[in-house]
Amino acid sequence: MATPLPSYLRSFRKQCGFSQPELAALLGFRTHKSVARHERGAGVPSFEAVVVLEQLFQVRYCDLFPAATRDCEFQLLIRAEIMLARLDWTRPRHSAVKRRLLERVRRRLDYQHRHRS
Amino acid sequence: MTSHLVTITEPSYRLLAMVPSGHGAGYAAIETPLFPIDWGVKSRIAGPPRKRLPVLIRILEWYRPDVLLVEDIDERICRRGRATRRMVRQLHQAAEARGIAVRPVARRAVWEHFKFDRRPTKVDVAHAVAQRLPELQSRLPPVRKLWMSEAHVMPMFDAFSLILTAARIE
Repeated sequence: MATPLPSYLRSFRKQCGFSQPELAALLGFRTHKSVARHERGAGVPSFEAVVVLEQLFQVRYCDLFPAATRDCEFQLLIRAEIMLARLDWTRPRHSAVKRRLLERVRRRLDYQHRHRS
Repeated sequence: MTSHLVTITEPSYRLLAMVPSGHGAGYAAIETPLFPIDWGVKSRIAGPPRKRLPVLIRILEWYRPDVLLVEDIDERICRRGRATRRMVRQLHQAAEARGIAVRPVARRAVWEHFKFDRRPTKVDVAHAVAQRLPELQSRLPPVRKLWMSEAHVMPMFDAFSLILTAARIE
């Protein structure tokens, strides 16, 4: 099984027949250089660009930029683990809610990771 | 609330086909079942193989395919020149050195896959490919006259034909 590419922006752009300058114009960029950078998977697009891309190609962010999504999920997993370890058990009612949520996040990300690898 | 956050994707395999020619090289990459991820022609890499090969190796390293598809140059009907054959062999070696499986695809297998009534021309194969992949319709070359040389995009269609044949995509 192939590891996902850092970015599938180029694939979706080419499938829709857009050139880099055309896509840059739609995204509101001054030049096509940012598009080229995002196609290489270098740098994370802005929130505005993500919304435009999702609307334009009708795909989810995670399908466009799998590597960036994986990085975010991994960071979240680490932070969730740290927070779980530091939960304040002197306030059990609040901690129980957080604990349930964080464990659900951990389970979901573990599940995704296992199915990808 | 959380269902849309589950991002499980089906296991897919990446196939890359490269077709060097006298004036450049065409390439196409898909992820199975049939998701074209990139395609194009590197037409400014004419020159000795030592200058052309690194360009193709960069593409190979970027896509890291599960299988690299190349034209079967040992086939009797293959009419590739000496330099192109050498380049295909070098690509083969470069892929194997990177742990990428290489599969040569015979031109005859391509013709059989597309089920032509007669021996097809490259343009016939290109049209058959574009029928299966509508995004390539705009790249189809015009009907070739006797005095015209081969369209520079033809190696790209050749690359797609290798992929569709090897992956048995109807």
